[in-house]
Amino acid sequence: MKNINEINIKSFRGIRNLRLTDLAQVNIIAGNNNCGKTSVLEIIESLRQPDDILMWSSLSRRTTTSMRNRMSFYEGIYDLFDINIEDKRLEYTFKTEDDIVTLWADAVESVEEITEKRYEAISGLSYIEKENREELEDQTREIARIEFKVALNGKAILKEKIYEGQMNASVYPRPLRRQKSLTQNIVYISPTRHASGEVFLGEVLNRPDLYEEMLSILKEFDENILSINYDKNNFGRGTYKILSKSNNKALPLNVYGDGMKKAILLMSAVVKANDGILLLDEFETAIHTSAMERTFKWILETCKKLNVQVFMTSHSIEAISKVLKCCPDMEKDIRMITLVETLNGIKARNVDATKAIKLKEQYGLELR
Amino acid sequence: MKTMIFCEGTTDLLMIQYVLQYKYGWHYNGFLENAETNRLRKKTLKRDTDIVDIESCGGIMNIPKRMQELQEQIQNTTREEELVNKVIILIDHDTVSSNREFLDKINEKIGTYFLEEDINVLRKWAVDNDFLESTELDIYIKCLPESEVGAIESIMLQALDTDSIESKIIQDSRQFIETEAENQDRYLQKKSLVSKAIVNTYFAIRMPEEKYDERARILKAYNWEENEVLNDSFAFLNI
Repeated sequence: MKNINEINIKSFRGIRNLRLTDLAQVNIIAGNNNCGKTSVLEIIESLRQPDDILMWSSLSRRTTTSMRNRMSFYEGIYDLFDINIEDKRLEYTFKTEDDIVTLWADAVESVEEITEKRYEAISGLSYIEKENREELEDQTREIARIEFKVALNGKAILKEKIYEGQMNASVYPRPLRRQKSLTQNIVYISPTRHASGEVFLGEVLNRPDLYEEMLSILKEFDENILSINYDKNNFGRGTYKILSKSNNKALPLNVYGDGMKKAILLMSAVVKANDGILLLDEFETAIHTSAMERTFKWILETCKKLNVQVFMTSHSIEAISKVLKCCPDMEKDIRMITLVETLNGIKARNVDATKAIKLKEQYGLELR
Repeated sequence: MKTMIFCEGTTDLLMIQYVLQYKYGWHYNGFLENAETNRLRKKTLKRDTDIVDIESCGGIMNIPKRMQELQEQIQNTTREEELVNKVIILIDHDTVSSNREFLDKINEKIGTYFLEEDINVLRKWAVDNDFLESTELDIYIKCLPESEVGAIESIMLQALDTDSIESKIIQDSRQFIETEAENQDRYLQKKSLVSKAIVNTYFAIRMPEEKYDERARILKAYNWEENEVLNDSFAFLNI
């Protein structure tokens, strides 16, 4: 996959007419809260499978375990559009050396009359009592809906109706054939994903050279670490365990601290994103300052080796400084993008690593 | 409000610092020196929420380059609190044509059109910036002495000339240095260097054990705050 060198965002959530040019192998995105950092990552992630409604559902920030408090699928999709504008349209374009990809999505609002039975199915809630079922399930109600349409380079690839109160996105059929966009290998790592213990070690264990390098870096966290192994139990389930001279037996990854889990997640995500795109949201979360330099250095060098384009957001000036300086040979491959809210919308200050270091150290300017 | 003051050398920097502190009530807030040469580069003063950085550029011809860097800094500023609101440049009056040459260099570096009539007058300098509403700075290019050829040391000598003893030492120092300058063509070929040599000769007599950069202390021996010569010449520092 050729690197994305430009993103033109006409409209997405609160971002209007933002142009990100001269993008590089590694792109650090910073800025005040609510300036659109995560939105930029979501835009890139939408390239993964834009013809799949479940992909759009995953962008809609509905992550909470409580069903009671969770935003509906309808609200999540609705909020992808600029709430200040009546005309609901998303539009953005990606450019690589060889390709231009334009994605747009419309949401046309209307009202539909549907049966209670249908509403129960799409809302994901069972609320019609058993004794009244026959009587009530054919009754109808008027419900707001949006007709959500997506087009890739002008060609319609998705068209679905989404109803107000709809919690359930799995009622839609999955696309039979994957729509070709720039790449499907896009790996997104949220700030807290490491807490679940999820990693992509399967990819790493197939690469002995990278596995060995990773172990060497993990010694910053546990100097006695010997190996990481996949342990399958009698019930067909498996778990990754770490063998270390610090303990009498191998321990599951889950019992280790957040820093170790985050480092393993980040490093394994690089390998998983081979020849694709890696999106790291608040990449420095949970990693101790003493381990940052070696971990980031490995990530950047391996991204270059595996042709992975990285977009990473951060609030931490310490982490940003470490990334800018950890690989002097790669200074031209790193861009520092600061999103700034201005009277005319969100704008980007975009400089290479050398200039970013100069702005910070010589001029005393804030990079975040 | 943030002000940058660019001057040619350490003497100018110390003089400006002294006037700001003891005449205009600014407080010293730190310095920056070159890690390799230990040359004093910058001093920072504060007054309430205002900040002034006084930077010694190591020669008049380094000032245009610093202005170009300041321009780059302002072009990349994204926050109001980082903005520089005013820039003051203090230069000596080396020769009759030195101001013109200096302005040509500044204009070349930062794309402006300053003329000689813009010296010693408050002007505006607009700098492109995509992020902030207004990036137009006040700019004041101060040449000392204003009308005659000389250096900031000329002003200092006028100010030091407070009684007959000081007057004689200054006069004798001047005579010695000017005679040396006239009788050879290797040293002291600029008027400003002659002025500096006269001041250094005066100080060599006045305080022979003191180091060059401790000279500011002697200024405290007099009520410089009430000195008419200094007050007139440095009124532009009433920021």
